[in-house]
Amino acid sequence: MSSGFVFNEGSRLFFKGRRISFAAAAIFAVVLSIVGIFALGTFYLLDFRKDIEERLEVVVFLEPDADPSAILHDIVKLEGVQSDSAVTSEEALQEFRKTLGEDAELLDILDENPLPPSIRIKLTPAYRTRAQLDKLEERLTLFPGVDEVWIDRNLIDKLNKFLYILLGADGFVLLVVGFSAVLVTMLATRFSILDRRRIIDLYWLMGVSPGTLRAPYVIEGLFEGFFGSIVSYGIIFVLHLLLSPLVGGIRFPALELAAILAGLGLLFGWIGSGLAIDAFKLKRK
Amino acid sequence: MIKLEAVAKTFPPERIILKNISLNLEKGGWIWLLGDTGVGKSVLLKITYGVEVPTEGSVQVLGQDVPNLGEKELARLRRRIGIVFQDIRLFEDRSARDNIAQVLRALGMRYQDAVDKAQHWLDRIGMGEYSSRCPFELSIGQRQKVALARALAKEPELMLLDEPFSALDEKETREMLKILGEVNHKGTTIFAVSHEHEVLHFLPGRILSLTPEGIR
Repeated sequence: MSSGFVFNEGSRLFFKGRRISFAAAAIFAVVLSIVGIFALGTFYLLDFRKDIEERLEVVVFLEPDADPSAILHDIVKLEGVQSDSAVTSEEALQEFRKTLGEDAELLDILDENPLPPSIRIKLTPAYRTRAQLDKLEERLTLFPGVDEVWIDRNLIDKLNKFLYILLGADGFVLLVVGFSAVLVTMLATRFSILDRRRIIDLYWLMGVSPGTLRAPYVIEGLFEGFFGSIVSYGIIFVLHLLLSPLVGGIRFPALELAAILAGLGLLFGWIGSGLAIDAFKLKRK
Repeated sequence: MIKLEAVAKTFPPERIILKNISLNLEKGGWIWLLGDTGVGKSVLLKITYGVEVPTEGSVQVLGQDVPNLGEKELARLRRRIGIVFQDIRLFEDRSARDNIAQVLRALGMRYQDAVDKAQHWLDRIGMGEYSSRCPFELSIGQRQKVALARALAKEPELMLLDEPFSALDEKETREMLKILGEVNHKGTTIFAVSHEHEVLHFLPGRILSLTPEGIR
């Protein structure tokens, strides 16, 4: 196959007078923007979950007479523990007072400090999953002097649940819009082939191989997908700028989105044009 | 090189175009097949390069059983053949030079080599100064010459020519025949068809006549 010829013909098909190619690229832009919006939402949520996970703390409440420093020494050896720190009953009370603010006076009516000493554990990222947390809780409960283990799983559980729903929606949207994009490329490629039937026939009579004749149409499909992805990337970036006052400091997933949009654009363009040229019959009577 | 045996072609429903055509053209040979309009010369030529499939008979070209070739094999065979079509068939939006160079590039030649070769053959047939003109800026005779240059530029083993000089005057026809004579002398086999009996007296090669009854 003559690669120089194939690339030149493919780009010529796309750029020179092929309104249908530009229309296909525009439809790609719309389709990929829809995918991009869902992807951006998913990235926001992943970022938010990461932030929550980083703040996740396991609090090990100790029995009143337990020695926190001895337990601390054993806990730090556990797999997945990034850091731990001991909090005495007094420190816990002071912290509580701070939290209560003006209402801290209420604590003065208590005869004795009801708060137990505790150990606060930060976990490495791999150990922040539900399953790992359950395992850790089991192991911590077995330590002598440990009264109760407290982990705020609720927020992470809710976030995970929402994330799974969003990922499901992502998949569904991807299927629907992917199908549309493939269909559009297929039609655009078929129009292109019909439009150039005479030229194709002439090359075919001159002995140009079927692969070389078909490949420029695949290149055209790739161009449609790629240009559509560039436009959709721009649209998603503008959307992020508009949303940034609402989402705070959440970063724009520039590389990830670029890879997703360009990858999908090229993939849909390739599949669509590939299916169209599959029906490409070289004339013989 | 070309071996046709008992070739027949019928178009549906029962329009018989060719019947019992046998012909043998050896490597390096040159045959002119003359015949009246509508006698089936072009159909016979199309059968030899695989556009038409015979209803009966066998067609061997360059050692290949043409009617039974797959897409890839047919393309490989056509690479070895230079064709001039009766209706010329040029890319209307490309210059004369590009018409040739594009085909050479599609066949795998590097860009500059293809352009140089295209220019060389246009110069050879006396069309060098028109190389940047598009077909619509050329006369029919000039277009015919570009088509001939395109066929020659492939440096084929076999040339199939369908009414190649129909729009040329006698002087131009003689010039083209001289060039074809040179390539034939170097080993290229030529199979040409024409309806012009008046050029009979200066045609080189073997001259056969196609009639509704067969080849004579």
